[in-house]
Amino acid sequence: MTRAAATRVSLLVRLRDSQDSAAWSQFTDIYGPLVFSFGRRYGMQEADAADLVQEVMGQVARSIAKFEYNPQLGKFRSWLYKIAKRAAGRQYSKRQRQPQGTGDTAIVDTLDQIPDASVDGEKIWKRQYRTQLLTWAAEQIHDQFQPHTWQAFWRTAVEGQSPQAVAEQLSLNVGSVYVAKNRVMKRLAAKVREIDDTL
Amino acid sequence: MNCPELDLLQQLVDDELADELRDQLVEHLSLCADCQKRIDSSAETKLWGDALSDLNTCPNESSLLEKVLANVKSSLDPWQKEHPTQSMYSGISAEALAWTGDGFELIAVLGQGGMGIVFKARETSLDRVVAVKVLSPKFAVDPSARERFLREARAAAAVNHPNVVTIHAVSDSGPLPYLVMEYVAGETLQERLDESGMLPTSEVAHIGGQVAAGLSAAHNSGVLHRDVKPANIFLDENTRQVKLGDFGLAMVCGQSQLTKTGMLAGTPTYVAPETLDPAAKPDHRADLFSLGSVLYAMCCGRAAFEGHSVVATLHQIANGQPTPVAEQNPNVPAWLGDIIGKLHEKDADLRYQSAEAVQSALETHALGSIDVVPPPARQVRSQPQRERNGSRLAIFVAVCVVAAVLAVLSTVWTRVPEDFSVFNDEGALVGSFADLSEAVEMAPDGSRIEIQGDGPYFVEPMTLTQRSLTLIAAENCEPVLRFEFEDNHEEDETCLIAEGDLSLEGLSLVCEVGDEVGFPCLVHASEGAFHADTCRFIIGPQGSCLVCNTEHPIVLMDCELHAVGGDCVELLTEGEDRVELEDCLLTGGVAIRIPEPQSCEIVLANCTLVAHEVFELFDEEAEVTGEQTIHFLTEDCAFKAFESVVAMNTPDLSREAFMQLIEWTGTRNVFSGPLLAVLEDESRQIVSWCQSIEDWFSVTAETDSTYSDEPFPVADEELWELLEVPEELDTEIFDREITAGEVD
Repeated sequence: MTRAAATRVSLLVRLRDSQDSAAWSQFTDIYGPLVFSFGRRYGMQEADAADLVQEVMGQVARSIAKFEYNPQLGKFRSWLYKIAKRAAGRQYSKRQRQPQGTGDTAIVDTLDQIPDASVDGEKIWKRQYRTQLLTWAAEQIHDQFQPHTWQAFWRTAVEGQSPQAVAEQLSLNVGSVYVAKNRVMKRLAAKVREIDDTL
Repeated sequence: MNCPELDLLQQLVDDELADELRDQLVEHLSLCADCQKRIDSSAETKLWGDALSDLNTCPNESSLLEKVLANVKSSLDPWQKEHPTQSMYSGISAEALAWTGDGFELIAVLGQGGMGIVFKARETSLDRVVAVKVLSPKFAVDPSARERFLREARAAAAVNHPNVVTIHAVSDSGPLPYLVMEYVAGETLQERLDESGMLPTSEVAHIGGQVAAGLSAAHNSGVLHRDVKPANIFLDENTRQVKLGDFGLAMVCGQSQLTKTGMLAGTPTYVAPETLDPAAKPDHRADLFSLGSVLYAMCCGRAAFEGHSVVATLHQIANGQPTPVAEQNPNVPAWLGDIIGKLHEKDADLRYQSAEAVQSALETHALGSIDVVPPPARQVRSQPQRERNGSRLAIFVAVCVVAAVLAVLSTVWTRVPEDFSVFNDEGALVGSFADLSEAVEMAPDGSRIEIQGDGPYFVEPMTLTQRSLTLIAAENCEPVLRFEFEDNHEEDETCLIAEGDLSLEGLSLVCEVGDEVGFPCLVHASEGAFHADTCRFIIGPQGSCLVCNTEHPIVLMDCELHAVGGDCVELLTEGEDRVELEDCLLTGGVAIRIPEPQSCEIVLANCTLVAHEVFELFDEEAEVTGEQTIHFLTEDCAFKAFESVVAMNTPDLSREAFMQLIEWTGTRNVFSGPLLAVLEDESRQIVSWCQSIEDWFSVTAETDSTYSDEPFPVADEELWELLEVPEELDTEIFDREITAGEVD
């Protein structure tokens, strides 16, 4: 059975303990880049996106206790999106008052064109959220596998090559490729669930 | 080989099979397409979808990002800020650090005193952050000191109370005995006092009451603290909970503070007189004396007993009387001064006899003071309104009497609770004020006004001139701001005019509009952005909740807007407005009114709108030129109209003109009531080309939406509960407009 996944409390629950600084550090590693790229997509310059990260992380720290950990009520993903969106909105209006480099009208123009200003925003967020979690989880477990196991997974699942072709490239039999792929995927899923099991 | 059971395939994935069986299965899997499908279908593949292929794209690389992440991590860790890592180990003996190999990972030094060192550390086995107190080597070599340290620590560990710092473990296994305690994120009361001087009475009562509760629990288990002082009182920044720490430990290393001079530095300020007498046997009432000194320090911003030297201080404690609290700070109510005076009795028999008694004295008075002293504004202002028909003279006399009574009262009850605390943009406390207008006046740009109480607070209309301001409810508070107009108000008055960015969080804004007032509004966002989160806006029997006249974003989340007989939201700008409502409930005459044709975007997500006309478009004279587009983006919303969901004041509206003007994108919405009507000479005509839900769907882009004749998602009674109108507000005004009978 998946012992680790079943007994381990997910990161989101651990965050509610403000003293768990290991959890906070992990949280920042995972979600900081997500918020950063969200800000960049919102038309922000790097420095502004960095501010956004700082603000969103602070907000989460202050209000995570209020986040009801109940998958029925709402997912963490959406909650974080709301916070990020709100912070971005605030920053946007702040920037409008203190025009910098970019110039007001330019910002308005880009803001109109970027997908996040529309209903698609959350869809894109959802996809990036998953990608970010998977990227992080993949980095975490990468070293636990033999190179050829990892390659079998990567080439089939990520690059979308056929198991037969990959078997040939790696001089494995086809069955081993299937086993390798599924073994990595399972570990990957468990790792992701350690962070957010509402995904 | 036959196809294996799914279980077996799972075990193959988990690498739980013997080599021989594994090889057989792998070989079978290489050839059997069925099994290949089966093994894949049991994996989590479907969960990820195309996200897995996204892994192939290059991730976001930025050196700036790296820096920010490091910054964020340290800023989330308040202790690391105050104790920079470079100097962390300086001045600490190598022996003291010896225990760190013992299952702990050192994070920071929290404090260092005569008897030992306190570290913030991670307990690796449980992966939790704790505070570890290690007995200083110079005491650890003394077996009797060591014994006392352990005995006291074990006794304190038996006390289990939310206002006492929990002791997780006591260890004597290593060279230095240590104890593992709960780590409280936040500051000590000492740090708070150093930073802000005296504290408001409500805060004094709150902290004092919790310290008394903690002491009471300890005393009931036979544990004395013996060193109650602000530096041992921890303020949890997340829960506002107050925790008393360091039980009994002060005495371990120096029984008599007079004889062991090494222990004296900085500490004797809070001790009780009987502890200075070698012949006396101090009991739990000595802790109560110290509590009195702590209360004194919170009220006055300085210690009760202070001399030029340690000896002078001790002399003061033994023989002197502190300057009365009221002389130090006239704002401290008499009852609080009395409590402190009683705790400071030199004779322990004359003090409160238990911590419980102190706790209840503080709590009773703290509550009582708020009830007994009504905000003066309420007395003076509400009187004339209620007795509108009475003679002017009577009112004048009444006002004079009230004023006189208040003047007398003010000498007895010197304080109205200072519930409005202003914090500047760096989070530092600017000051606490008894009323909102004063707080707003004193609030610098970018500040946050935190309201610590439920009110209702009676507020005069005001203009916020700050470029940016936040009004926010303190934790566990649900403040109600009730706006009242002066008798000689101007027409169409506004309760709150925001000339800059305004954010509201956790507040209720209420205005009961008198007969003489025209069509007022609660909030007028006239320049900056407006954000509201978890707020309630109630106005009636006429007027609007929110008027937007700004080009900046308007965002409302988890809000309720009730405009009985008026508009919930009115959009005035002729610019590129964007209004975003999420998880909101709007009820009223009109939910959203747009008086002039303009291009704007209205985003509604998971909202419920119940109104005569959910959207009313354009004043009668308005001309639709065909150049504007109103973009509605609606998702998971419920619209219930008594008259029509969209009401237009433009009589000759063709289907084509409508489709050009309104760009409607909707998903999973529910509609109820007539959908589209044109107002013509006071009568409402449902337009011929939009009589059915199919017609509606043909002019709007709706997916997965439905029409419902059923009672609406929010039944009227439920609406009532949601309203939770303050009792003083005449609720009939709500009855009149929204009743079940009118639903047809």
